[in-house]
Amino acid sequence: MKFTSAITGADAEVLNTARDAVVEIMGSPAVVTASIIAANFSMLDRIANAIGISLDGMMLKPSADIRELLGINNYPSAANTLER
Amino acid sequence: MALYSDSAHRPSAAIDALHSDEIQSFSRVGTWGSAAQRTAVVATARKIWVEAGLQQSSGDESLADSITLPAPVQRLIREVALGGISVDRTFCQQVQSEGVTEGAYVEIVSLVSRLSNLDVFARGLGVSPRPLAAPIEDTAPSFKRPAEASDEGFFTASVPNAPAGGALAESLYGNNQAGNVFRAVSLVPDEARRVIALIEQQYFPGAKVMDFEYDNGHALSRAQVEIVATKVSEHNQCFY
Repeated sequence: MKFTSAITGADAEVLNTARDAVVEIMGSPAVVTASIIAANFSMLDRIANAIGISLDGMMLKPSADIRELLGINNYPSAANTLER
Repeated sequence: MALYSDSAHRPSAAIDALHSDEIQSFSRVGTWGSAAQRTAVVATARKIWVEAGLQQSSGDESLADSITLPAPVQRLIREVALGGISVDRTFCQQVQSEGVTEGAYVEIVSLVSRLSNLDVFARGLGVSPRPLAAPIEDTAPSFKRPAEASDEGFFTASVPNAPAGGALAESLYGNNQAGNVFRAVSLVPDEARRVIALIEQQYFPGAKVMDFEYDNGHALSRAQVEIVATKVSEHNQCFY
């Protein structure tokens, strides 16, 4: 979690420390996978927000509790689904 | 030489090859933007990240100044580069009313988002952003809008799943009923093909997204993968 937060943050030192911890505990391949997933969703989030896509219908009901719990319904992009 | 040969953490050959091709794609002519315009778009995004203190300089931000991009294009690049969090339908329409065509809007969103993919990955590995190339083609964009594109309720038109999307939909999505994110930038099919290829290599193939037992060679469990994805999406305030 610290590594993922650090990738999207601005502090290179924090990121380096978090990466070293991942290597020590989980190994170098985990750094690669965590980085590629973070990269992938950095791309997809921008596309989703800027194109205004709605959440796929089959995901709406199953995600209701987690969206409420995490405050996701308050994101500006929630309007692209909830107000449609 | 491998794109990430200087990294202590080496991705698969498939990722390396895909990302090498991605870097080259920015400096080639697109559907709505020339090679020079596309290069300036991605260099401008990189300049914004460097100025915001989000990443180190790779020394190629000067490519942003090789041509002058119109003000609405620069606003769009900035918004998307910083996550697209405050983009809404009104912003999209405003940018288009100032002369950015719908196709160009989609292409710019895709370019900046695809560069974000590469630069976040490099940051994760602990290497500098991979160098951008100078424009390598000087032909005119095709400005071809797919006849199959329609309003699916997004800010911009997209190619719907088959049968409505016809042969183009089948060529983009295969036999799958593709989720919205796979169709998002399909108004520019070449960009959609690239985004889909990245998703399928980096995350999971479209047909396997809901198969929680599927092994895509990741070094994290499916639950761990989803935690990373959720954390990043929380940062970008992405409802999707």
